[in-house]
Amino acid sequence: MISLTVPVYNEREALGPLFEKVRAVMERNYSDNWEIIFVNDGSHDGSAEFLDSLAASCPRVKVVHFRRNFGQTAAMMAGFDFAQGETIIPLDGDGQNDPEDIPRMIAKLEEGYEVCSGWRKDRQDNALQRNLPSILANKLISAMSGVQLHDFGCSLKAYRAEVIKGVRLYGEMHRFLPIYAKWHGARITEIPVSHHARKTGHSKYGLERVLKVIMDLMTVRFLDRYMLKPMYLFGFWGFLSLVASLGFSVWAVYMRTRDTFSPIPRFP
Amino acid sequence: MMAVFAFMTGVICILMGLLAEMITRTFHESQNKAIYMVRDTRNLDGKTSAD
Repeated sequence: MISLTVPVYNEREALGPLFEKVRAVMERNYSDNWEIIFVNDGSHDGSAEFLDSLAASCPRVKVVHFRRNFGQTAAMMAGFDFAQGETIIPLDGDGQNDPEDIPRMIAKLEEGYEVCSGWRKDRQDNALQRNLPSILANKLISAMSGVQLHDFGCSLKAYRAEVIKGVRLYGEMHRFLPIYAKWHGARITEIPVSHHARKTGHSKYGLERVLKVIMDLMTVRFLDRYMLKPMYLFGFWGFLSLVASLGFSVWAVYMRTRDTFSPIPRFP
Repeated sequence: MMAVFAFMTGVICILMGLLAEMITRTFHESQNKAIYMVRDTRNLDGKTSAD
């Protein structure tokens, strides 16, 4: 079974068209062997009522309502926790991804890959504010993590359930999901996916992400390399500090005593 | 002097941040606690996130 998970936060207008498109694609390709899990992350624009009516009309629609807004990472986690399929595909709730790409991703999984990432090659967002930082961030993440992907930010990715089920995400770590999958020994590939301009609602991200991405990246790198041997990292800085202190001590003693041994008085 | 001091403070704060990340993970994973709370579900009767 294929599980689609959709984090929803105030996307009332986008949900209807998104669901119709998804249903068309999934029913054509997989008849009834699929489910879609909407995780309502504390929306307050009527998305909750709309999702309830969708769930009432179609048994394949599952809905999880959060008590309040917990953020996109928590919503994705909930989607993975409740998913029952052996293939899990997170989608954006804003309708910018195209469900037509799903069958191609699943074909990649059937070739033997465990993660297939979407790559929004032709991205339809504000160039300076969204795309440029994103390109830099992706280059940086690829270089630091050793997972070569062009687009970590694209939520449309396909995962085999076994590489994603045990993963626990905190903060805003959903961007680094392929890296977690890599630790589970996943083989990763990517395909270009189409991307539509946002029609309704507004983006919930801005430029302040850059620093957060850098900090998250340090965390991921730390967890990857030093989680089982934290002493190596802390000990390295400790020894560096000790050696520096030793050096400064010797220097200080030298400065204090050099006049004593000097044959010529320096300050007549 | 201040440069070295500020640099070391930065390094120590970042290392403390990494320790804190370990602690939050220990906190949540040791009691098998989710980072979200569910009010209600539809078409998921009787299933919990633990299934």
